[in-house]
Amino acid sequence: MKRSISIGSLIIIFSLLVIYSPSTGADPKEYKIGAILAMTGAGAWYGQVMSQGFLTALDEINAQGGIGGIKFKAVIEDHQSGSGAAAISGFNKLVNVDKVPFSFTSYTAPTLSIIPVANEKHVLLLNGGAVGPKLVKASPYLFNNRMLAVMHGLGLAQRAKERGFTKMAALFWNDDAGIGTHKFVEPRWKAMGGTVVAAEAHPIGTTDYKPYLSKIMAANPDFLALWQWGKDWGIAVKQAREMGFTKPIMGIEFTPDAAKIAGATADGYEAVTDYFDPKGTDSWTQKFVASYKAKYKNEPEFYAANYYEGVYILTELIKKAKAKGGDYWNGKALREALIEIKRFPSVYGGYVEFNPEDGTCKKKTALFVVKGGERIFQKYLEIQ
Amino acid sequence: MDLFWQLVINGLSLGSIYLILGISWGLIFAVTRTFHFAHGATFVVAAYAAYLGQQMGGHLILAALAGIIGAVLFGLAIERFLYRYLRRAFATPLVIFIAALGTLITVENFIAMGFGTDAKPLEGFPIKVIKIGRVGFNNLHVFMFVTAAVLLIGLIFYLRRTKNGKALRAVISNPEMAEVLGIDVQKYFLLAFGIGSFLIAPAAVLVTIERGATPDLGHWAILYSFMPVIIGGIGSIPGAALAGIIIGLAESIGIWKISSQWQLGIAFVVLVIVLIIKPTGLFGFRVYRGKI
Repeated sequence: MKRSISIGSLIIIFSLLVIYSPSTGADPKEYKIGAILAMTGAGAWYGQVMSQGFLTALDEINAQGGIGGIKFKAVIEDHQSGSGAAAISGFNKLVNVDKVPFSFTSYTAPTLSIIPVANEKHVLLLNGGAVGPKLVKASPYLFNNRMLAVMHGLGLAQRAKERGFTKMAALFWNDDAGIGTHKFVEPRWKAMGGTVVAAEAHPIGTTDYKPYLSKIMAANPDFLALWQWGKDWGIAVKQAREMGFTKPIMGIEFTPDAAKIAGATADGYEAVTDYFDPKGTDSWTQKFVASYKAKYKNEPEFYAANYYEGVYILTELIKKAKAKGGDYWNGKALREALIEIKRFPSVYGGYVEFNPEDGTCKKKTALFVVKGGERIFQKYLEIQ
Repeated sequence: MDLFWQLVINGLSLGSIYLILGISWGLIFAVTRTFHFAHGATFVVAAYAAYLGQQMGGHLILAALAGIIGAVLFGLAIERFLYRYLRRAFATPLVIFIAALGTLITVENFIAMGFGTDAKPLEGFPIKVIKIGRVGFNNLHVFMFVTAAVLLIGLIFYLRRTKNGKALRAVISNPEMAEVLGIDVQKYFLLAFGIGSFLIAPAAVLVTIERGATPDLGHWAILYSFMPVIIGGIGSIPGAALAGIIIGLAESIGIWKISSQWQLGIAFVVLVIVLIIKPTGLFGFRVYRGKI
């Protein structure tokens, strides 16, 4: 009788211990993360450089043994350069099969389309590429570690006013990012005393701009504003100059491959954009550039930098969440860690600071002018 | 009115490229009745062969030559090793079409793997802007028009005045009868692929100079290869040429009063209207007679 009581007591005590003891949280076998990128289609270049960016960071961290001995593993899914359906399909796989609590994302439309699933399954999303205005406050689980296009567009408008222009012509992507940026900038430009004499939307990846430029030239603007990204601005600038358009051209993007396409026609093109300088003096920038160049034989641009930086932001989140104890390898815990930390070192030099209220961030933004295929830094911008 | 004339100029330069695409594909289709979807792949091969030629240190003219050689070799290889094999295996036109589509997708993907997906421009063309009032264009646009005219006249001359050209016309008109008369039809199939592939190469080079080469250009090229042929009337080289110019002008002038983003739709509207009014195309009656 005595013996059975003592066994029963032990079972009860053990059960109580299990119930009331604070959970230590099991470590995962590996930190498996996802990425929804444009791996095929017209924007495959983005998927290539973005994935190269975060894979560089993953390799660096894994080579040092991972985080506390746990290594990263990445699963990349393809949204086919902007397909919402492809993004949802890929993201469902990441969430339900690979069980990732964190995913990189890119492009405005695919990012918006995966948000309902991310909200439901509590998956933290980090966007380092898309710039659409609809990404502001889109989800409590979405954070953007690049300045959104609307802010760059506003900076461009400020610069145009500074140069004394009044008549704007705009050429922009026919998607949420391009149209959204134009809709955001247009009323503010008008409030500054300007007018919009032509507004032409075109499909992403257009290679023949003659129809759009014809209308723009006929409207006789003071300057041309480009709400385009990737290689598109280079082709547009080249064709504009080769059609005899002589007015200033300003944009919110600079990429070396586009500058190469534009060649000498890009001289004088002004860009308001994130300030990642691969030749920068910051030690982390130099380390990243060296590591990336060794791996991919190319100098990284800011897309690669954003996704590289994203992995190190995630690393901080994991450390913070783990230190708090409990089950930490989930989107909720990672999000809480991000809201608590808010300010992270940036591979641009300086810091990237998130706004937990709307998911946006503040980073270095600058005005550049292109000369001889290179962008020349002019000044930092304080965008109002 | 400036805008109208600007759009006309744009339409003529765009139409010149469509003209070249149309007559090159039209010749192959008229002779072989093969829906050569891989013609888009020939276009991409020509563009990248030219780009490669320039990267290896070649002058623009040598690069263009590399593009032409690459296109001809590719076109001949497709006919000799794919289509001929399929025809001998009694493959249906649908099977041949699927094989051609597969070839286009495969080539585009291999090129994307090898060269990346960013635009690869051809450099060295001395662009000179020409401005008439506020209407602007450049010498490349003029060169496109001249090239298209030279290729069209050259092809018509070849088909009408040379022995091989006349044999090709015989095959277009009635392949069975041509064979009975001792014409080696397979040989002329190969010749049609060679000439068609030769013709498309200048268009690829000019587009690469203007916009840069990208792997997905093949889909664009094949779309504008068969559209002029269907609108112009299958088998009619002048019909394809005229339709190419009409599509270019319609696409360009069509955006005068509507948004530029609907440009591609305009080409299809033209296609549908022509097919409703005249299902055989503008010069369709000549198909049956096989006149060029």
